[in-house]
Amino acid sequence: MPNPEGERPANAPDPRYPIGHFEVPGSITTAHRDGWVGRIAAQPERLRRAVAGLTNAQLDTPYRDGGWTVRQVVHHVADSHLNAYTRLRLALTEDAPTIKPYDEARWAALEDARRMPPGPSLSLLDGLHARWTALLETLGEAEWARTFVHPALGRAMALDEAAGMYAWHGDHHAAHIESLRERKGW
Amino acid sequence: MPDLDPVRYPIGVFALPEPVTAAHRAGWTRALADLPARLRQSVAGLDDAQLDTPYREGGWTVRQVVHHVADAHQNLSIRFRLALTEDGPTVRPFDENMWAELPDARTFPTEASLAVVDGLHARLAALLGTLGEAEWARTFYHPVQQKHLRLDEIAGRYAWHGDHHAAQIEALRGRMGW
Repeated sequence: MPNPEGERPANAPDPRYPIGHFEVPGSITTAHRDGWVGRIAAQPERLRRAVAGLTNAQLDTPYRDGGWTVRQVVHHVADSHLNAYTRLRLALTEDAPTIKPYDEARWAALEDARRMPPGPSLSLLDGLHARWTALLETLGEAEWARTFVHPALGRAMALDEAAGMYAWHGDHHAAHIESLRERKGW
Repeated sequence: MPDLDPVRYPIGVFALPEPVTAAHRAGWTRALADLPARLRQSVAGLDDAQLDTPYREGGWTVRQVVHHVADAHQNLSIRFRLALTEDGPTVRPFDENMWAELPDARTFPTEASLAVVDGLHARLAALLGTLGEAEWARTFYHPVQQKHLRLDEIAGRYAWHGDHHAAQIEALRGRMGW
């Protein structure tokens, strides 16, 4: 029976977290890193497939009630991963740099993020992830342990943890779109 | 005024017009929209040895120039969006020389950065096309330059910056007969 407040029954999956939350392994191994790099490498193709064949009306559908549209999700992944890649490069060329956060909700509300076709962000992600994974594959133990400081997080984050977080992040958003299509039968 | 090295500055330096008009902004937006095709054309058909040739003695290789444009303009997109969503934000500078020495910038095929520039500039030019007077006057603070920079000036500087680097490669091909 539907809840009057429109809340999900307690046993329904939370549409915001189709693959759950990112959990940092207690001890990060080479196998973890390789797995994360592999997922980052595969994300442009996964995201491209997630939106393939969608009409404009479908792209303008929120992936959940009150959430971003499919189009905004795609542009958000591009914007977020541009920042991720910039943070990686800062951490490799400076000692524990403090990075500049951004307001993802406001960025997603900018005109191009609300209205443009997904094509440009998919192209950007193709190239960005190719360079990103090429760079990650060159890192040795010492580089993986380098850090940046996210002022909102209030602590240093190592590059391997960041890679894990973005492997999760890209898959998380692709899964938003994939599960919407499944629910809608698209 | 010191003489500029024409190999290093094939299109001169950026001169900020006073005042900046709607026609300037439209021209800069168009130059940013056109850059991906110009940059792609500038490296079309080059082999690996040619891509690994410095565009000037002691300068970056053609490959590094292309990756640098992608990296710099990613930062441009980030700064533009920060200035549109925060009041006079302080942006994060980066060390362009150290970035150009990272392994992917030294050795990776140019196609990846050309794809980044394709998508990035399509979005940026679309965004710029929507800005009104009030948005063009928004600023960010650059802590190294210690200056508040208006978005229209930034659009002009980066329109110049993209053309500047494409022209370095075009001029190299001209000198080498490639």
